Amino acid sequence: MAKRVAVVGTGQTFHKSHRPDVNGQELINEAVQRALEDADLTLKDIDAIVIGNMDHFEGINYVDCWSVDGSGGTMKPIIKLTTGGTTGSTLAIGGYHITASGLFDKVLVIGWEKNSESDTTGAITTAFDPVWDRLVFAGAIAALAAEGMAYMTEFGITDRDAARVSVRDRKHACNNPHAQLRKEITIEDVLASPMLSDPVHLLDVCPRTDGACAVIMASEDVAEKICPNPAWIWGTANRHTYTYVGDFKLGEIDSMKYAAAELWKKCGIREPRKEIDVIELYQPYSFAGIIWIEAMGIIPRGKGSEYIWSGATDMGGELPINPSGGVIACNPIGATGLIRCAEACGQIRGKADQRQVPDVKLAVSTGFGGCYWTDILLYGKKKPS
Amino acid sequence: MEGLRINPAKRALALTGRLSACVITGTDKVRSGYGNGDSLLLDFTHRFFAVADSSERFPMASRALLQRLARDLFRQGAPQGPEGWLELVNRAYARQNYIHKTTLTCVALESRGEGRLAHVLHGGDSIALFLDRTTGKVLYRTGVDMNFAGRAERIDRTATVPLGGPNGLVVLATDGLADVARLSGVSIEALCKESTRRYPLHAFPGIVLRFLASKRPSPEYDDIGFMAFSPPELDKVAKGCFLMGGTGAQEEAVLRRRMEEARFPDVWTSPETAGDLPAMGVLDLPG
Repeated sequence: MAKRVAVVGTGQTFHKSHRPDVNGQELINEAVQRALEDADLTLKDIDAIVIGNMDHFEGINYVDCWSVDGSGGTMKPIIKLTTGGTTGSTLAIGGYHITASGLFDKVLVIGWEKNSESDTTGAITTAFDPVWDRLVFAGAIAALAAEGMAYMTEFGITDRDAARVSVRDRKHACNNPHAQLRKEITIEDVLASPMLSDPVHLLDVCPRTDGACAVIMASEDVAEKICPNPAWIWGTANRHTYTYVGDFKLGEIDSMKYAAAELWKKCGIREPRKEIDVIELYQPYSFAGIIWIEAMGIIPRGKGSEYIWSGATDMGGELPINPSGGVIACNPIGATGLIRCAEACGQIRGKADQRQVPDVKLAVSTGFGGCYWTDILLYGKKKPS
Repeated sequence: MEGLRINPAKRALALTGRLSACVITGTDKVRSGYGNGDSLLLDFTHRFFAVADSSERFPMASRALLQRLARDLFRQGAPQGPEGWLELVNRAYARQNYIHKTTLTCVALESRGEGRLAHVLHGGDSIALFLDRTTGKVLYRTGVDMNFAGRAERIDRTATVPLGGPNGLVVLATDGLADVARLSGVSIEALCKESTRRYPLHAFPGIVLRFLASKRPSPEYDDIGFMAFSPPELDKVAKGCFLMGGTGAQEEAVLRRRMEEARFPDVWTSPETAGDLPAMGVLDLPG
C-alpha cells in the first residue's frame, strides 16, 4: 500500500534571463537552501534526491553526478529524470512515486536550467526522429503556431483572443517576486510585438530563463511533524507519446485530455471547474491558455476564449489560472513544471503572499513538453482518503 | 605597528629582513575589470597568517573568510594546540556560503618551551611551503585538494610542523605564484628558495613585480597573493593585524586609477603615514 505524500517545503531561485553570477551547481544550491529553510530541515535530513534538467541544454551530460555539490546529494541516493519540457512535472511525479513507495521519508526534488548557456533550439532539434523529423523541425515555436492556427481556423478566434491570455499572465506575474518578466503589457503590446511564426507574436511566448526550483516531499509518517500545513498530493497522471510531424492532431491536445480525465477519475473530481480552486498551467504560449483548459475538461471545446475574456481565470475570478504569471513570465525549462508544483502547493499552504488565491482547498499543476506530452498533479489541503 | 612598512604602489607590506607580503592583480582581471580574489591575513598579535583565493565572481569571499577568522581571534584569543586551531578555523569555515567558495591556507605559530611549532590548516590549491633557507631543504608543503571553504563543511585535520633552527622560512601563497614560477622556468620551491636566499625577505615583492614587468612578451598570470616570513624573527614583532586584498571590481578600479595618477607612491612608509589604507586594499584590523 502506497504511503500518502505531502509537499512540506519549496524554494525557487531569483530567475533571470542570464545568471552569470552563479554556475549551475550554485543555481541549484540557491533553490535547495531556500526549500530547506522553508521546511526547517537540513541536508542531513534528506533521504534521497530526484533531479533533472533538459538534456543538452547546458552541454553537460550526467548532471546528476556533477551537480551533487550544489544539490547536496553527496553519498545519497540520487535519481535523474528528464523528459524534455515536462521534466519539472515528471520530477514532481517521480518524487511522489519514490516517497509513496515507503523507501524514503524525505525526498528532495530539484529541477533546474541554465538556458543562457545553451542553444535551446539546437538542442530541441536533436530530440526528434533523425530521419523523418529532424530535418524539417524548426524548433518549438513553429509547432505551437501550427496548433494555434488550426484552432483559430476551426473556432474563428483571433490572435487578439490569445493575447488576452498573455496580458492576464503578465499582470499576475507582477505579484510574483520570482517571475522573470514583471511588467504589465496590453493586448496592443502583444499584437504589435514581432510576429515569430503566424499567428504567434513575441509576447505570446515564454522567455528563456536561468533558474532552479526545489521541492521537499515527505511521507505521511513525517509530513505533519515537519510542516503543520503541508500540501497533500492527491494524485498524478501523465501521457507521453511520440507524434511524427505529419501525424499532428493540430488544434487539440490528446495527452492533456486523457491525463486530466484519468486524474479527475482517480481523485473523485466530477466538476473540475467548480471543485478546483486554482490552476498552475504549464502554458508556453498564449493559445495554449485557451486550447488546453478545454482539453482539461474545465470548459467545453470551443468555449475557451469566451471563458478567458469573462475574467473567470483572472485573480479574483471563478478559477484563477497562473497566479504566479506562469510560463509566459518565466521559463527555466527543466524547472518550469516543478515551479508549477511549488506554486500550486504554495497556494494550498497559504504561502503565496501577494499572489495568494483565498481559501484554496484543491490546486492543479501541469507540465507540457516533448511531443505534446502532459503531466498533471492534483494537490489538496486535506489528507487524501 | 613598529617596524612595519607599506608600499602603496606595490600593494606590499614588509618588516625589514623578516617578512614581506604582496597582492598583485592578474592580467585578465585587470583587462576585464574584475576584482582580485586573493587575500592575505597577517595577525601578528596571535601569530596567525593566512592566504585565501576566491573567484573573480565573488572576490570579497576570501576577504570575508579571513575577516571572520580575525574577528574570532580578536574575541577569543589564540587557541591552544592543533585541536583548538582546528575548531576555530572550522567555525569560520562552516559559515562560508556555498557560492562564496575560497581556498584557505593558514599557519598558526606556537612556542612550546624551547621548541617552535607551526600548525597548518589547509583546503584548496593555495600552498604553505616550509623551507630551510640555508640548506634549501623543503621541510613541508601542502597538497592540492578541492576542500574549499563554502564547498567543504570543515577541514579534517591539521599538520603540525616543527620549526627547527633559526633559518626556517614559511611561504604562504595562492596559485598565482605558480604562474611566476612557470614563467621563470623553475619550480615554486626553487623560486622561493632562490629569491629568499639571495635577497632579504622584504625584497621578495619587488623581485616578483620586477620580473613580471621585465618579461617580454608581456606574460599572462593569475591574481598573485603571497607572504614570506621567518618565524623566529616574528617573536620580536609587537601586536597588529592586517588584511590585504579580496578587492571587488569597483575597489580595483579606484585603486588602479590612483596608481595611474601616481597618487600611490612607490616608497616604503609606515602604515600611519601611508594615507588611505582601505583604498589600497589594506585593512588595519584591531589586533
